[in-house]
Amino acid sequence: MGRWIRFFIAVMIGAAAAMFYGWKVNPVRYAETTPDTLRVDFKTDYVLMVAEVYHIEKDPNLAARRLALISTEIPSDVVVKAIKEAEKTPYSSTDLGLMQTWGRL
Amino acid sequence: MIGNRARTGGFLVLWPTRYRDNAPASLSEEYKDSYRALIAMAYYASGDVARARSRLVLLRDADIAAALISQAQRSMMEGRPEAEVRALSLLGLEIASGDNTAPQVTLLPTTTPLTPPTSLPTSTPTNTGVPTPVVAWTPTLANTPDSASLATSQASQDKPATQSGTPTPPTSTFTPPPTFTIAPLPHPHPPLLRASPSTWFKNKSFATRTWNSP
Repeated sequence: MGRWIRFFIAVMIGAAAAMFYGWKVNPVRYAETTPDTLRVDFKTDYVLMVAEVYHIEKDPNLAARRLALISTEIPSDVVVKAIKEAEKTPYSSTDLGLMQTWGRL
Repeated sequence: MIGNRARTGGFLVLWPTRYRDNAPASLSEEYKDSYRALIAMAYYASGDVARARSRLVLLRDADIAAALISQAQRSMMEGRPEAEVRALSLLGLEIASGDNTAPQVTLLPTTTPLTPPTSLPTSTPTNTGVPTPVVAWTPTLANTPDSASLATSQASQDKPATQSGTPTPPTSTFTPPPTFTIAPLPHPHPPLLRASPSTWFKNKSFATRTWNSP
């Protein structure tokens, strides 16, 4: 019985050491990813950038192509999601207004 | 053995790894270029260099300004839209200069100066009453000077020659070199009021965050 306990303790120690190594010492480094895998706040800022650029370009097709990089949804849904996310975070009213104005177009 | 392989294959097919919640630094180079260009265009629209800088930090380039200018050159060679090239260049120069003043250097130099040179060299001698002629000795290639005439010429170089007649002042024309135009490039829109870059996103600052964990 003591032999089995020692065996499982050794397994647990090995598993814990492996997890520590994989999580802290040498974690996975993501590379060569695509914009649709960005975190939601990065996506929100991306939408804000597209809105800012649209403000001077006035080209909805180009804006839609840019938005297609971060989501396969239709552009209006992407913008609505970004606005909802921006309302949760301390975005300035100017930024929110920019996105809302653009989202209504 | 076959069962293990089947189980492993099942995990790969049914439950593959899903990459999500990534940072811009993990993007492939192609998408990083798109992201960088969008940052530059947003800067071009808003004129907010602090925000652009904060966004560029997310890409974790070793040299942000060099990355921008390099991409501007590549974009120009690839025939990308002029506005994009201009925005990348302006932001690169702005980041490189390190100040927050409005960018004042245009990309394309023109040979027509906007302002005339302030001081042009004048070759008109002042008339002091007693003419002091200055004779410039210019050897001609057609005649090989002999020793006697060479000595005379040397003597004329050493001391001013007394010459009769009206002295003709040497005419010198000054051609200013082509200058690059340094003109302010107006932004299409005035800078917008922004929140502090540190408060854009929830949680904490991007610059200090590590993106390694999934």
